Amino acid sequence: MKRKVLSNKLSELNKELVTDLKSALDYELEKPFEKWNVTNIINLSNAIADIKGYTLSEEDVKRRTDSILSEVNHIISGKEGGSVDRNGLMQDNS
Amino acid sequence: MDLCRIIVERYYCDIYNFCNYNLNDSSAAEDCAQETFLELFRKRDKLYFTENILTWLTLTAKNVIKRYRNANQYEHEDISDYADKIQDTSDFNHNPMSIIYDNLSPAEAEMLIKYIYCKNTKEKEALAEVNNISPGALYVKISRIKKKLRNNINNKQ
Repeated sequence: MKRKVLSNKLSELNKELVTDLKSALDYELEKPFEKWNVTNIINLSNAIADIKGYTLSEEDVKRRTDSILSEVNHIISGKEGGSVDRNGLMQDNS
Repeated sequence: MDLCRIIVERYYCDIYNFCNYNLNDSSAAEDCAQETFLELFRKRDKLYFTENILTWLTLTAKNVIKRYRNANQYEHEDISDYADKIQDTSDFNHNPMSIIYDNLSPAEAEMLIKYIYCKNTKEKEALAEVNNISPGALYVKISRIKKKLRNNINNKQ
């Protein structure tokens, strides 16, 4: 019984904390790019993910890193299906 | 290549969590995080790596998310919505599949249908591989096909 009460209390505290963190993050994101505090933004989004249990496992990060590196290999060897225009937008060459 | 791995491993979680917060969709966040790192490596010659990479990645991720949202604003629109659009004004078969085939080339229709039936990022990557293009190029291609389909449907109305 005591454990359940503590668990509920903890859950409530987590919700409050996430709400506070989201408010702080939204406040940062509403600022123009030039005024962004990137370190703060990243720390806040990491903290929210952590509390919500969205943190990626080492295996996930490794798998996704491998997937990105495989794409980088395509780019380096010039096999990519699209190219980047001067605005940084991907263009389809096919 | 080692440098690429170090950068991705170091910053992947930061960028993924940022994307996930903004999109509230883990699969879309994975796509956008990947595209952000690919942009970094596409522009590797122009970038000064002495500058703050995390800042560059975060701002790029914001732009990638914006492009993703623009390109996918009709993503959740069911095929039957296209049928509804046509139903009132056209006299041809109202089968959603035939709407796709009637308004696109056979190759485009086939690719769009295969893409629609992809359940997750892995299947989309596999589809890109079968077509011998990168997932990024597939994503651009599908966006253009959808745009063409919408335009053709609207022109017939």
